[in-house]
Amino acid sequence: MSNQPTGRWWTPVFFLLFLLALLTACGGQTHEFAGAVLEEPKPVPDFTLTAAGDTPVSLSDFRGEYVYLYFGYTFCPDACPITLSKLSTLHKDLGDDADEMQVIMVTVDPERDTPDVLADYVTRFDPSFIGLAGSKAEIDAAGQPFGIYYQRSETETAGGYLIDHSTRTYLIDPAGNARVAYSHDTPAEDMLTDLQWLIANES
Amino acid sequence: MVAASKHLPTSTTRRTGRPLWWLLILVLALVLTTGCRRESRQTSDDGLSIELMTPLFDPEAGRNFVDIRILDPAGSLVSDATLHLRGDMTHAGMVPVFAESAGAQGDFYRVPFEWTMTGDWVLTVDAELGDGRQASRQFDISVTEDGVYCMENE
Repeated sequence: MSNQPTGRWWTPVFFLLFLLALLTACGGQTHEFAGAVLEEPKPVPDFTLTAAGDTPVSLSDFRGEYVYLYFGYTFCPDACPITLSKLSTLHKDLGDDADEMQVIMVTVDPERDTPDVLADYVTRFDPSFIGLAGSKAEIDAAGQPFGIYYQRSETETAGGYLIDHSTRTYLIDPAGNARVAYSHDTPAEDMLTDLQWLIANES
Repeated sequence: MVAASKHLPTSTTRRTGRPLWWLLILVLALVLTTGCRRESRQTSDDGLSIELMTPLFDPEAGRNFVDIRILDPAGSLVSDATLHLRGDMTHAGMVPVFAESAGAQGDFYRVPFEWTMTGDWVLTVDAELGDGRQASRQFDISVTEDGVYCMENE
């Protein structure tokens, strides 16, 4: 008889705790990221494109590192150089942990961006950066999981045609899971804070 | 006997209260776990499934295409279909948008499609396979200034 009231009291408490755990599993995170975060990390399908010297490079080659994936082109007058400069700053500011990150730019201008042209372009921002090229179908397949869009613009400049394209940078964790999507105007210091948190808490 | 009679109502109340707790918890758990998933696939009677491929992250504004994948009953990708798309806004008076695929590229079909207005849409995908089989599916789509969102949930 004396046990019954105790049992009644614990039953709802136990299940409230269970619900709390469910809620935490669905959306819990202890760090507020500066970009759009997936409720739960999702694996990025692997792709293989071509780097300088016609070297095949796969996304999975970078397992164990945090990858910043960006889709741009070398004739880009604004978003691409700004983003790559920002990622260069981030890489430098990461200090001793710089080896834990890798920047990859996939071209959205396969007509003009050969692997070697891309390599020359991205390494001007940081020698460790990698540029990847491929056919339109290969680039579309690589960008599909991210909803990447790009199309030739009607605007012509002295440098030739422009391309309207997605401008987000995607952070992929060492296990190959998509984690955060950053808009082009996210400050480098906020991205750095995010990466430092991930390295400290998940590596 | 008197004491026992006094306890009876209490005991009965307790027994009906427990199933209510369980029911509430089960319903909440179901809602929570369902809310964590996001799918956009429908399967036809003949086993063909047409999947609207949603990006990992909510899409950026500016996309002018939809990506579609077709799977046969064995789960293999179908790459020889011709797709006809029709987009209708859910309110009357709007001109529908039509599009047609130019064939699969890799394991999916990228179909140029322009969402001409923000609002709620119904996207109808008609697929005609190389062997003559046909399938048709509809997807509820919400188009906002921020992007295009598939509202299908399983």
